[in-house]
Amino acid sequence: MDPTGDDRNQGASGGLESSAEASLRVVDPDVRLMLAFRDGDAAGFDSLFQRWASPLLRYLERMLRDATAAEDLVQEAFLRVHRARERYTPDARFSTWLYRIATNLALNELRRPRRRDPHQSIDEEGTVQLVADASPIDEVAHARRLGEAALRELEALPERQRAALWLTAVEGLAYSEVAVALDVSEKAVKALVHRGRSALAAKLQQGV
Amino acid sequence: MSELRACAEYDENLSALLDGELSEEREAEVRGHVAACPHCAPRLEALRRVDRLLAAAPAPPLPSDLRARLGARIAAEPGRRQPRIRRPRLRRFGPPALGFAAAAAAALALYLGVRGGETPLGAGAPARQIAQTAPAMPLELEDISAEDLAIVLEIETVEDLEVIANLDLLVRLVAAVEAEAG
Repeated sequence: MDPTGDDRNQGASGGLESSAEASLRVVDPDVRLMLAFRDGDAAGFDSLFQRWASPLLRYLERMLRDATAAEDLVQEAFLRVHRARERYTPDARFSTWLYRIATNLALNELRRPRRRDPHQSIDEEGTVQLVADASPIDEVAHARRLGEAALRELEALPERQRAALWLTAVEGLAYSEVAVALDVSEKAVKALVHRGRSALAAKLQQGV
Repeated sequence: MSELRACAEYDENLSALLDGELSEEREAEVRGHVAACPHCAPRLEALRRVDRLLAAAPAPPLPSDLRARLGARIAAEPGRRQPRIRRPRLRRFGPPALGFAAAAAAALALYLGVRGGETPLGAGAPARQIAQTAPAMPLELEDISAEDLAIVLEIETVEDLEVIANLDLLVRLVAAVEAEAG
């Protein structure tokens, strides 16, 4: 399966074992929708979009820190799914494949030379905001500010830590699936997730 | 010191514990350490808190037109069949086909006049008059909508029109016009 249309990660390893491949058709309803779409059922594609567009947008916004760019990449990711329909064969859960496409698109977008570096201002804002939030007025507002601060700190993490932590902690992907999405080993995912989570924990403890 | 070294060895496993990525045996071992360790228990809670905060982050609203925009991009993909009449096909016949085209235009003029409540030539006008008048009319095949042409040619759909390779229907239409004129 060419999951991305992106030449940067050709030769990726990390697919699921062949014994698991057959069961994907049974256990993953999204794989069934994609197979139906491959076989001519346009409603399958619509269902996949309805199911995955929101989480994908949320992920891409966290990765890019740019709502408009994130929307563009959601479209681009589904466009690639659409293009790939005729040669689609499931060798991972549909969501793993989709997140891999999206991750590659996001990493490529972040490497575009014209793109401004968003870390600088966000880091400064985030740090200031965390310190300023040290005296919460009420619990709800405090929780909201904490959540916003956590997102800012997340967005300041290195790209792959950010992606690995989000996909694991929020989207619930297994390390093996994140490994496929990021084209790294499971061991690397374990380290990326832990480093990212530790960094956020430290920042949040400093600020509150 | 040795206790801290032990904590360092367990540290990365705290995330794996939260993520359900440890084997049963390893998980039991890590949980046992955390339960007895004054450093690792709060550490695990701090890591868990990160997940709670991230998971509680509001999701950005999905723009209502995003699916439509995607649809437009899909429709614009190269190689996709456009459900539009390919008008140049009607011109492949060159000069010999001009008579057919004029007759078809005449028939269409009649049809459009009747349909629109206007009868520039009258619904019952002689076909020869129609045929003679048609070339001077502003209507040309290139300007005729596929829908109107499909109706005139008495076929079911615009898509059907696309599969007329030899213009048989147009020939029959012309024959009918000429018969009426004769």
